[in-house]
Amino acid sequence: MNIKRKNIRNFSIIAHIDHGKSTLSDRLIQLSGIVADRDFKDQILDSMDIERERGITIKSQTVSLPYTAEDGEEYLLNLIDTPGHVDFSYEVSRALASCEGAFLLVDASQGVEAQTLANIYLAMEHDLEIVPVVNKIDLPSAEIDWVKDQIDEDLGLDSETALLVSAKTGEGVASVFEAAVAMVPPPEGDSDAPLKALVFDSHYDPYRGIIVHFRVFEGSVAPGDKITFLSSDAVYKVEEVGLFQIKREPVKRLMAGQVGYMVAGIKMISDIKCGDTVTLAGNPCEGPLAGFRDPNPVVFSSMYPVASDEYPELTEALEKLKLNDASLVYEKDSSAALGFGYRCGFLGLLHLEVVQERLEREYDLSLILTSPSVRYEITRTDGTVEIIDNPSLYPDPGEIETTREPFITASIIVPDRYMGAVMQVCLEHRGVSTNYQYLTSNRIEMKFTLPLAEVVYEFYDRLKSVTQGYGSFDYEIAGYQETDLAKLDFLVNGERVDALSQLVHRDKAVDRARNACKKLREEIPRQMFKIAIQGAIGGKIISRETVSAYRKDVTAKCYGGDISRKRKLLEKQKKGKKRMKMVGSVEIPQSAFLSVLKSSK
Amino acid sequence: MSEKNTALYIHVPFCIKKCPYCDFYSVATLSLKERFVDALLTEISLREDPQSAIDTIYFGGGTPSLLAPREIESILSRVRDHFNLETDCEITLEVNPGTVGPGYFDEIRRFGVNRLNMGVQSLCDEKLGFMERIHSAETAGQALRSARRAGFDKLGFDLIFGLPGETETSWRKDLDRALEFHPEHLSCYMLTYEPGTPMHNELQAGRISPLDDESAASLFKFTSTYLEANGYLHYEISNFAAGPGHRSRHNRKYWDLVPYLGFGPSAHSFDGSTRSWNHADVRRYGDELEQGVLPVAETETLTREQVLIEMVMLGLRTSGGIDIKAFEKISSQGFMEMFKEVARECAARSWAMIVNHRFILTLEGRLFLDTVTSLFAEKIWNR
Repeated sequence: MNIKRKNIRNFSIIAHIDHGKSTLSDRLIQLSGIVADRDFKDQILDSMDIERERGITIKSQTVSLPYTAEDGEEYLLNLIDTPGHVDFSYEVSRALASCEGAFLLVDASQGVEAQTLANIYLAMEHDLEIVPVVNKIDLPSAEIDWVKDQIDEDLGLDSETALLVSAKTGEGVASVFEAAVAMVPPPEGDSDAPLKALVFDSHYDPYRGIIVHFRVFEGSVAPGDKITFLSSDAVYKVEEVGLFQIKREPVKRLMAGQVGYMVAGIKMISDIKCGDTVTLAGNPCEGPLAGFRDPNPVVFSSMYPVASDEYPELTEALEKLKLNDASLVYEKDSSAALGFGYRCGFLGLLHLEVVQERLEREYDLSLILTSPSVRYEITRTDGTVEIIDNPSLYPDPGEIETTREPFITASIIVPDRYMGAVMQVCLEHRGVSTNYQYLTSNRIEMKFTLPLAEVVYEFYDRLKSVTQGYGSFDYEIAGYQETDLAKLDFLVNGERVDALSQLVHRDKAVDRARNACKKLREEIPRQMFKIAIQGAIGGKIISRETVSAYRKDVTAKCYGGDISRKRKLLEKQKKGKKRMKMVGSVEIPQSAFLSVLKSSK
Repeated sequence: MSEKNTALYIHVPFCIKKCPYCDFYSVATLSLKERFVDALLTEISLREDPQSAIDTIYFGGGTPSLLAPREIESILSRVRDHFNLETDCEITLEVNPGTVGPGYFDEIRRFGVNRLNMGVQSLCDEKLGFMERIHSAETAGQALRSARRAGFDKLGFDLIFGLPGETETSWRKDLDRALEFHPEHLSCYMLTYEPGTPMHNELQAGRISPLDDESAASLFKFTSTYLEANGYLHYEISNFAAGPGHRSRHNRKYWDLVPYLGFGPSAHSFDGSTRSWNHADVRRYGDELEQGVLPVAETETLTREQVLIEMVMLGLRTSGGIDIKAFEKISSQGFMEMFKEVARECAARSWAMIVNHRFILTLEGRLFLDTVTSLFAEKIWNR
């Protein structure tokens, strides 16, 4: 497709979760005609099952939509999709850096939310032209004037320019195309300069290797070119470049201002980093694009296969998953209770859950995860400082001088009637209220400093529940503060189960221990003997539960028709035992390990 | 095993009403009964074996007493035409006391039925109500008396205990009422919530609070002690006989892993190494036989490992225990060498003893039959 630079538009849609971004994207794709109606599957961009089920975008996808505008000219509208969760804010920022404009989607009945604000700040940082879009105007509960007021007052945008649409019914959707043409500036850049392009995503194709998603800022790139990635220094020969049109559509050359993909026989995901700069190996650009950083995991957990002999399968699955998810980091780990596994780092708790679900669904693995931990900074009495994210590496308390833990600044937006409840939840999670402000007469933005470790432990679920879903939450990392940490161990019939150990704030230890013991009692099936479950700090037992022994285990009847069935049941139990972990003589099911990660509230 | 006698089982898949705890295959309509009997006669002919030596025939179900006496007659005569029956062949019919009219027992006795297994379940109306039986205690009593009058000297009763709220006192009263009839055989089943049954669903939904483990265990032990004190042999987990000669000849074939032939929908057959079973679907059963095809759903040939596991699983159920010599013939490995740790564990808990080359569970051990079976199975798998 030969298209002039002035007829290209690069933009994203940014929105709070559930405000209808995927539905709007689907409508735009449908209207552009690049997918036949009969092939159309709702929410094409959210192609992973998990994404569709959870209604969030994890892996962004981009699409180039051809459009003939009212001025009669042909345009190419590049819709650059962004992940919709706070865990992936760096990825969002790289996608936005590839755009000149953004449509800010606001739900006509929900109004501006915490993520809306966070996203708009990100978009402003990148000097994007922001076009407000009020979505779901078909809802009976839509309050268009109220949302317009918020757009003017809270966001400082001009609500006069706001588009009114219903992605669901299709009303007003076509106006998004015209607005993209009229309001989003065309990209700048010199196609004759040395290549300078931004990697904003990548994915793995089993036949072609890693497919790089990128935006050309300067110069151009074509098959045959030798390119290099500035941060990794890797050099590859380009095999194919093209546009995303749901399918990959090869083109002869991608020029300054364009967005597309590149195939270059890339097998090493470590060479491809989101935010990296691509240039020509023989004719490099002057320096890298601004804003690159290495992925920075904040939550850590160990993963073990339930069946120890599935360790090689876990290794292979992680390697494959990593090809699609450069932000996943992992290294070998081992546990006395669970054998060999991997210590993994994640961008956040959602990222952790997504990785776990993908490993279990796409690779058919059954996993045990240890309690998620943050990175603690420990200063020993001899003055050495180390970063610890794994309870098994926690030093003897006698050797610890001070411990510091990471904090976040949280922004919570709620109707003001929930203010007390939110305050309560934050205080329970060692939060300190720093500031609050009314956004409108009855909506309030509350700011808290909270330990990241508390957010990892059920904070988000609690917040959602006390605000009945009306609370929105966003956060950024805010440095380390001194803390008082304890290592909480669990013993099953006197044997310490290392995989259950957690690092917790000392004030929370007893509560946590009691809750976890109770959960374990519910999850560990009765066995031939009594099982004692204890929570301990050092040698001190701080909680205890007992699973009593069963008193009978006998099949009452077994005649001709029962024999095969009973024998098969035994054979099935044998398979079931592979999902159990033996600790001493006690069988602990996979579900027990998971249960301690959840609170009882 | 070829010299041993064979058992013949006939599954009659009809009930007036399904009992909520029962997981045997049956349908609660009689509309297909005639078609079923025709198909059954065809199956018997197709599977003929004049060389066989049948020493027990058992009509189970379902509710076999829904068969009219002349239907039983035609079935038995078809069996006699195609199989060789031993002269003292035991012919048992399971009877639901709520289905039999006057004269029924006299007629079936004339056609050769010589043993009855009465699905009494309880002689207490409250328990019968909970189990949604179609008969009262009084009706059951009448049926029992009428069976005796017809000359049946081999009567077995099925009883169920361990219902929610059951106590030793209430169960003892139930047992005492049964003992007044001096049954030659008693099957006392601890109530089991079988997956897929309405009662299991009720349990899952929390609408039934089951008897606790401890009480169920003590009722189980009480049953054994009480019936043994009354002269019965506790010869299998749930079965009691008034003397060695009154043990169920038929059911012992299952526990001894000897061949049996099963006819009718869902019935299982075993020839000593291969087990096969018919479709649990009376329509399909009829369709296939009408086309001259045997309605076999599945066949499995037991591996040596599976034979060993079944020997353990079934042997442990009986007072005869596991026949160690017979086991070693198949395992080609010393029993004690294989199961030293299991035997030690069981001994330490007083769960088992070895008598005359037989590994036998004690009464306490029988309560943990499935646990012990698993312990054995693990050793067999890890061999």
